[in-house]
Amino acid sequence: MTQKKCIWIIEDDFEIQKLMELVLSTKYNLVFFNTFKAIKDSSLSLNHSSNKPDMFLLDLNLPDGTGFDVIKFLKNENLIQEKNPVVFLTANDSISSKLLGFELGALDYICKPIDPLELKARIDVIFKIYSMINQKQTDEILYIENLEINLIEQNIYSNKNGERVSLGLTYSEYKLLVYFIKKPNILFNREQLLDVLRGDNINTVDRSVDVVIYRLRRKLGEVGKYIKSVYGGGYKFDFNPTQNTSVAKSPLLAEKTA
Amino acid sequence: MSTQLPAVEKKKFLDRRIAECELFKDFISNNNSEGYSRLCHQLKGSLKMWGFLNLSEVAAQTIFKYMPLNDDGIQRKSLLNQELEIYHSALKNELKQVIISP
Repeated sequence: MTQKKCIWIIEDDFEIQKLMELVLSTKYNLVFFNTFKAIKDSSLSLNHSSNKPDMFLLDLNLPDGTGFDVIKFLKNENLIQEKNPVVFLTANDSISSKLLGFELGALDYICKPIDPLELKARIDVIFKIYSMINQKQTDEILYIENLEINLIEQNIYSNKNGERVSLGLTYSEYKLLVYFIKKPNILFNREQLLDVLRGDNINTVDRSVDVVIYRLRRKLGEVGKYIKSVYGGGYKFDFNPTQNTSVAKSPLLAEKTA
Repeated sequence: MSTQLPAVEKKKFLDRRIAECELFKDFISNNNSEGYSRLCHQLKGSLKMWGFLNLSEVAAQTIFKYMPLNDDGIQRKSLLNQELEIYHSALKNELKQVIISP
């Protein structure tokens, strides 16, 4: 069972809090704050508890400050991260406030009154979008042992004494490696692998594959052992994700091999 | 607003509003303009968000009508109390319409 997402709600109106509780609490964990001081006092301890925020829902007019003060404070304390959307919910519908809210990083600026079901729908959509973005980002970085295969940067990094060092693969080497990783344990003949390399302005004679694989193995170090030669058949990436815990970080690989 | 909130919760909300009328009365009799304004400001948002559009309309025509308040003595107090009475009656009518399933 997946854990409920947690929303930190900074709202001084009890009736609005009550309403949010009625509509949102079945799906989300809610942590309420009445004042700016309340969030200042408890944010640090709460951030390390199970009630870590996945979203901030901020009222603008608080008894001891504004929602803008809150967002600045949370940013200064590094309590807001890229993956934590901020949404303003306020009766203040002035364009200057809306612009300032977005400038400070809000994802949405919702004006009261709003039907609570619409509010819930908006929150659901924001979480859905964030989940898609986070999933995509996770899919695009794969890990095998101490190697990070970064599909966004199209680069492979190794961890050397805690330092992230690029392996300096050529584009052909990179392409071949990613091709192997995405289809582990499948035997490819030279012709198939040549198709992968074609179009890279390299001279794709039959033995080009052998040369690229030789260089790739050398650069990959320990991970190079997974590229197996099959006599008379070709090459395969002999790798079983279920036997290798590090690959669990790679949803894409797990999905492809499921 | 078309929110389908539980009738029990709606009833509790209206009960709280009815009790709140006493607070309004106190603010009027003590010339507490700030308290009165703050309460009105909160009500404006919550009545609509809880789905009480008719009540919100009545409040706009009565207790919110003379906002912002200025201190001009007994006559204004009497007027505000009359408006509060109309709003109070509307609350009680609304309460009668909230049907709680057994």
